[in-house]
Amino acid sequence: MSAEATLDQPKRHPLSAWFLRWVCSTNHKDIGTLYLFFSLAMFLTGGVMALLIRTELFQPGMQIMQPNTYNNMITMHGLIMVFGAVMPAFVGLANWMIPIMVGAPDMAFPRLNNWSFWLLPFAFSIMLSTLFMQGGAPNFGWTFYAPLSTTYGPPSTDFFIIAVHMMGVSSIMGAVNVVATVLNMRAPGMTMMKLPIFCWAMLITAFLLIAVMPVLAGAVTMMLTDRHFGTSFFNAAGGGDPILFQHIFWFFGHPEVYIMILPAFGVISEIIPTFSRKKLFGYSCMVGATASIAILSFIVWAHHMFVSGIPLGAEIFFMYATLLIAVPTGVKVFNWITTMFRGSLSFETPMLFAIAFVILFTIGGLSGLMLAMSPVDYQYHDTYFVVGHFHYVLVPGAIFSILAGVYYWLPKWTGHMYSETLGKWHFWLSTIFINVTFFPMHFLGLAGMPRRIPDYALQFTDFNMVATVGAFGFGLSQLLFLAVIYKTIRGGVPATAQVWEGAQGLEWTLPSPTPHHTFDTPPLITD
Amino acid sequence: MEFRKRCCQRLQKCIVGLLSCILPSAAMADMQLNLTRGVTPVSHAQYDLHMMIFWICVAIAVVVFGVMFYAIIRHRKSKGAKPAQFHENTTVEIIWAVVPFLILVVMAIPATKALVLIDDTENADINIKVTGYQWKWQYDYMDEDIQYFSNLSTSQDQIANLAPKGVHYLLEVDHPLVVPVNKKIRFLVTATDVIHSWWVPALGIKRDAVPGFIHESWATIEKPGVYRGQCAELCGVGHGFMPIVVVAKTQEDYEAWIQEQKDQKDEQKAAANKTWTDTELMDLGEKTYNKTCAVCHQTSGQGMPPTFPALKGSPIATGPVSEHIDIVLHGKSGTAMQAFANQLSDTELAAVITYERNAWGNDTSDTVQPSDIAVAKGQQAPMPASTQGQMEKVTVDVDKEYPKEELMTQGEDKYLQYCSVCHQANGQGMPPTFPALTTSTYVNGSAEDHIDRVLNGVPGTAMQAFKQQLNPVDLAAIVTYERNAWNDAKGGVVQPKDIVSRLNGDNKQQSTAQGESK
Repeated sequence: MSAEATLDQPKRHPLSAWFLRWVCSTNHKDIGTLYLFFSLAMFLTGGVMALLIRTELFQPGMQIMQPNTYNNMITMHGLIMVFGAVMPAFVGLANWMIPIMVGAPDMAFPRLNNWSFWLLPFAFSIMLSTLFMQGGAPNFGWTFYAPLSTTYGPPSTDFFIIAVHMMGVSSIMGAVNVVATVLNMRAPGMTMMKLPIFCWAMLITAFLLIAVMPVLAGAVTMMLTDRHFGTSFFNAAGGGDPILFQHIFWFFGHPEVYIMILPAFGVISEIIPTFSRKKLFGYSCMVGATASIAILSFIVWAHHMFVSGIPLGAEIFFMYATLLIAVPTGVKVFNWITTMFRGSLSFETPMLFAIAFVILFTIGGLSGLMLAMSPVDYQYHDTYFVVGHFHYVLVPGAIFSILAGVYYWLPKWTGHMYSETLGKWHFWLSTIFINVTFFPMHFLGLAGMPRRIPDYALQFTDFNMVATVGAFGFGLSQLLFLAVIYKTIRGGVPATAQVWEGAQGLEWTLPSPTPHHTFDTPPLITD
Repeated sequence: MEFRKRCCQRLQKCIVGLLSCILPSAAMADMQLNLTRGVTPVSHAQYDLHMMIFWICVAIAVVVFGVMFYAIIRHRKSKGAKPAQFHENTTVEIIWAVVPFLILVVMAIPATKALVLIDDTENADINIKVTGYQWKWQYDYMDEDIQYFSNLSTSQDQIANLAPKGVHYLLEVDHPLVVPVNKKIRFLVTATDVIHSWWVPALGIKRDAVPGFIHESWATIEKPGVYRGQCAELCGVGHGFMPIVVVAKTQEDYEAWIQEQKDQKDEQKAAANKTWTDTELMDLGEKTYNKTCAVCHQTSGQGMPPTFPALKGSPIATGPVSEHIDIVLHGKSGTAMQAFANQLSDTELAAVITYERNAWGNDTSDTVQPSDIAVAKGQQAPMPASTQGQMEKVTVDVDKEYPKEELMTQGEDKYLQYCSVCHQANGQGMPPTFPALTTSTYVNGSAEDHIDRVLNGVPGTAMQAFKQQLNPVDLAAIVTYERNAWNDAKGGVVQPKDIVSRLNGDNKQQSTAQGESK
């Protein structure tokens, strides 16, 4: 429309017009779209790897791959899902939504925004290319513990290091952009305590990213120098310590976990009030809880290392600190439920995903509470119990919140309503199969199955079969999601500006689809 | 045709598998759903805590989800629910922050007690050192002088689905750890290569085995039995294939077992002295190869290049025997190739080398006898003794005090021959890979550290161990040269006997020799 007209003034070759529109774009909505499609592509890539892993584990014995390939797959699956699927999806949502939620014309640094995104396809091309390198892809798990990743890492580890650096640069720049936009570009009258809760979540997440991505960069750089320049940061024979790696990694890694879940909290806190037709209960407590979780995330890292030989005092400290996280997390869950309580609930697809999020994330949170108990963690650690736990918080947690957000905002983005029938099929199949996949993993872990093994003892067979069936069910259900997106972009019932009866906020004052440029003059917030 | 048949079989298996998911299969009956209660005080404490938190979690879930489903059922728009207006209440917020906190305190108290129990490794009756290797465990009875390796004993055929799988598939080993019941056993857990984790659920022990560090753990096993576990930390290709089997015996049985081990050791010595036939060596070699070497170099000898080179047609396996023996005994620093000198018996080593030199078309028709291995191992001793004549010469040389000039001349000669390729004739090296010696803290520091560096090399770097490459006189000459050539002759003189004392200190940790050199 008018926006399109301003873009391609002189007639250009279609390819060069496409190139200008998408590759050179500095528009937050375009970049948001790029992030989301990139994340979808990575989600499917990582998903195919997950299915290969589950196929291998369908029954005992080596079935379709060698142990080394299996290790490549678990490493790549983890890295791609964390850095390629979940994180970019939230940055995509933030890009799309923050400016129109705070009444800004665009992100604070549009060109930086373009660069942040375009680093990612190159980073992941490098990362994925390692699969075809001599000696194979990285095979040390997404946590890349030294010395398995240093002295014993395959040659492709160096490509992995450079890819991680690029992702880190991308994340830091994206985070800087979010912070600058939220702090400086709010419409007049929008005080911090009137900020939409999703923006709060992204703001806090952005601070976490700025704090810990450099730590990750430090860790991989130390790996690089250990590998090639004769340093011994992580090598005891040279005066270093392999456990140092774990401290550094988890100092990044635990806040990273919250980087993947705090934005999810934000999305869910937007959706539940809309479909409850009631204001979010305890807004200021929700903000406070999010901030507390973020701060606590810096002092709990060693709960990933309870069996690594840290001293008794450290075990006790990190156990207490970890247990403490249950308090603000509990506050969030209670507030969501109270928001729903005595509301006027309706159950469109985004709300269904949000409710499933609250339930299944809580289950993941409760198993997290069990894992926080250091003495029992001696039994749970590095078993399928842990795999079950973190997939519960990441798949029906982070991924479901992304799906919920996409369904919630898709009419606003495309101007069309999605097919509610397909959406509900997608929801119910995903929810059922996710539980079929991940719930049995708790039993496997308790019965003694270690994680990251390509083959297992006979008594673990039945549950592994169930999990594999569930994984294929979940994977195939996502094809419905592709169909929903394709159909909604192509057409459908036109969406109103408000879209949802109970929706509140600046973004719902804009027409659907949102024009290419919005809030050229800032709106005034009065209430 | 063959392929189709296999596909059919696989499909059949899949269908059976799917069915077994739906129908409760026979295996379902004895399937473990919960944590094991175990047989040690620690595992009992863990189990009790586990059940306590589990029920607390269930209770929280029932309350939270109960309220939620109440709202979902009662407060739906389709039933005409009108939204209430409340959206803030500080009192409730405080209550639902404080109540969970109190629940956490209740959980934390017994957890702290259990941690203190786990940490108490004092007053142990038996000390066993557990060392993780890629991909096996070594057990060292520190009070008994018994050490052995414990390898997966499931056959490669079972793993490759070529043979039916046994009951203890992947959870069985050739030499289990044998311990007595009702004794406090302290485990000292470490590793040689990467991080492993020694986990036996029934003992309540999971301890990361970290190379270069020793971590402690303990168990007092209450009843005799076989307890199985696995490595719990990703440690490379063989991570899923290094199980742990602990056999707990009564005190008498345990003592009998100890005696048996000692007798066996004597028998092994006898076996090493006899001459083995080709077929005996090949048979034992194949067994040992498949158990120890095949994970990396593959049963076919094809390896997984470039990380794990092929042995089939390799220059090592078809070249000079001595080099082949050397690499198997001492490994190759900076690679995954371990030193097997202490992992396998002389007989096994001889057999495996014979096998590698004759299998897969490597038809060198060389046979290596246990006695050859013993000789090769003997060369590790301070005085290289390849020929009688040389040995005499070296013996005489070592005791002599050499004048500085002679050492410097010989040192320069040997330095240019062995060291200057990397460290350069002017001692400037090629940093960062080959450090400069002129400014090195080793060359300018204490003589012992300098000697140790030259003798033992630096694992993971290009710096080799020279202790077997040069005789003590040459070594002394080189060290003396390095300490004086570029540093205004301030470094002092190192005599061959200093080298020998460091070598002995190295091997036997004799403090007397060390004291002398100081």
